[in-house]
Amino acid sequence: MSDSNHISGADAIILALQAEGVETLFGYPGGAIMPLYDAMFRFGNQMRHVLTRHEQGAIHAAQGFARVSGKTGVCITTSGPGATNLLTGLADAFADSTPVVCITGQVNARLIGSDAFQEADILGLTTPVTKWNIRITCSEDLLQGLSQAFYIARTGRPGPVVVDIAKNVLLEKIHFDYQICAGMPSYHPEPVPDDKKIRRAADWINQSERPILFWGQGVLLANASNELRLLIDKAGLPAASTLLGLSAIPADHPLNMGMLGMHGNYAPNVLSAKADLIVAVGMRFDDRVTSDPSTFLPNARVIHIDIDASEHGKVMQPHLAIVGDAARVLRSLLDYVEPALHADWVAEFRVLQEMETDKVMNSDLSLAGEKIQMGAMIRRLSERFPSNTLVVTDVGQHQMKVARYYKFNTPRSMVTSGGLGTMGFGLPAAIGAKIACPDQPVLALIGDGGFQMTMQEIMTIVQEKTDVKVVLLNNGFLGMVRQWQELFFAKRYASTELLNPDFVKVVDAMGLPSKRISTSRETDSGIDWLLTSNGPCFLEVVTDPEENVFPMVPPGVPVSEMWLEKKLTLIV
Amino acid sequence: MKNSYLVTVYAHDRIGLLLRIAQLVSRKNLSIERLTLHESAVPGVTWINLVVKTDSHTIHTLVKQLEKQIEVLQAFHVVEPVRVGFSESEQKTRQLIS
Repeated sequence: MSDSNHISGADAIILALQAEGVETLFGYPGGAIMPLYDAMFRFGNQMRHVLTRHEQGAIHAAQGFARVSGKTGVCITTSGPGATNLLTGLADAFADSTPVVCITGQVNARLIGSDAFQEADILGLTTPVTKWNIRITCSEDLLQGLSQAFYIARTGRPGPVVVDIAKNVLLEKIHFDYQICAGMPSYHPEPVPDDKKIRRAADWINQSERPILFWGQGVLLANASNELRLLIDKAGLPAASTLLGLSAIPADHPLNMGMLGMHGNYAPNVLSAKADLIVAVGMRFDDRVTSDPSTFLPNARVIHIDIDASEHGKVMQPHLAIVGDAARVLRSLLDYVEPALHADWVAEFRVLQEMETDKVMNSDLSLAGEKIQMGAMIRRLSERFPSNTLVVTDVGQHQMKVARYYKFNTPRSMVTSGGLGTMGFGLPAAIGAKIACPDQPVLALIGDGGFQMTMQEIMTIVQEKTDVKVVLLNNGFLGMVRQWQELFFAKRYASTELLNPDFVKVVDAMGLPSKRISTSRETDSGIDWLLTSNGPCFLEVVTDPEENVFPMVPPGVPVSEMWLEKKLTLIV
Repeated sequence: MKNSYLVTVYAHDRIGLLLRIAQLVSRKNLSIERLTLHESAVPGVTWINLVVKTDSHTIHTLVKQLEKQIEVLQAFHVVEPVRVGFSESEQKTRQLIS
């Protein structure tokens, strides 16, 4: 074979990425990965490379990209610290089932294991937080490794994959015969759902008098929003979402009873204890949803539909477990269920919804006071931004307020860090979301604590001219922790008050137009400014420092005894 | 109630396989009491036996998580039979260290 048929490993990776349909890469260069960056340059930058300011920013951006588009996000970093900086993002993507492929450089194969400069055991470090990982030390393994990585990341229950490539592989010549992976002998990502079980599930739904459907992100990952909506309409099922399932069904749909869990809506939490049947679709009974599993759903039969068989019985033992893709199972169920209304049962939800409106929402959403309430600001943004806006949040009080008060209408329009709860996720994820969907407005809602974890990515926004509208909700506290200190630690505010910089000056110095509002009457003028600004901009909203998120399920309390307001408790 | 369970895993051999298996066990906060690996009758397929002491709920979730790993062809478990006495090689080892 002549040398002319052979190309370098680095060039082969670029061609392989193109074969996989990758158009955007998020990354940060360094010693061990330099040949790949050089190949990118020599290929005339046919793919867009987004240079973040930290590798954590790169992987969160890749996650944001994947979450809104359903495509696999790709991230490139160098060996050692470049790769270890990915760990938080990998754990986040693993918890939230996000398809991401990370290509990390590794030292030359002959140096592996010798404590070489910028060497770290990336295979060992990433094993617990990846769906799969592989170290490639010889060029013959490169192409198959890459194709399997993409196949594994996107199929079945998606997840992050790491491909750790030794530097010599990037330089060695190989014959390029890349083939997209179509299957692996020991991996079966598309289990065929058992039709008998689906018929039994339909019988149970038809017999049930007080059913509730719980849905999670599995519905979005399977693109099953339509099927879900048809099913709840036909069978008259009141339905409630997990944090990550939000946006699958429009917020104003009459059977959408809101969010489950610790800071979810009152009606679905309380009535879950009265339900006689729970149909759980693409959700995993996280402890933020169940509180104490032994007190959760005392009166219900549980049907658990999930593509990942290891989720069945992990937290809750279902009475009927169906393994399969949400879209496929819901489509079959739809044929077997009979039309129903459950009007009395739905009326019980309405009563509790009114209680929640009275006791919580009216004050949360009020713009009458001097200080800005987070919830009121968020609801106003929701009313005034276009309905196709993609909303990205960080983690904490503002995240719960967004989940409660932003009205999501289109699937995949909400991106947040759920399972891992990663502060600092919001800003870089918003960059990825905007790059994936350049025609949709992107609104990043971030607290002052989380913002300072990845605020350097403002420079990525400026350099890449990424049109993200950043709204900083600044209460001067690590608010969620402060709320717990107030409720359960007798207001001992240990290390939760922040001395913040002048955010407007900082962001302005980075070259982004910025503005601050601090009173309720400025709410609309602030939003006007966001809507009329051309390109990215930054609005700091100074909010009430000691606002709390209610309702709330305190730790250990059954979800049916959710608090609508602050109660005196035993001090921990 | 805790039992000793014998878990058997057949998987495609690859660098990092044992790490992935062992990490799933330690994530369940279990220690591995015994562990053996051999190449199985099928070339390239490793046969792993491990013994852990735990309850039946945990062993079921562990085995399902093992089975979900990309390389794993099959994973299953049995309650390990109680052993009476020591094998010849164990007796030799005991003599050596005493």
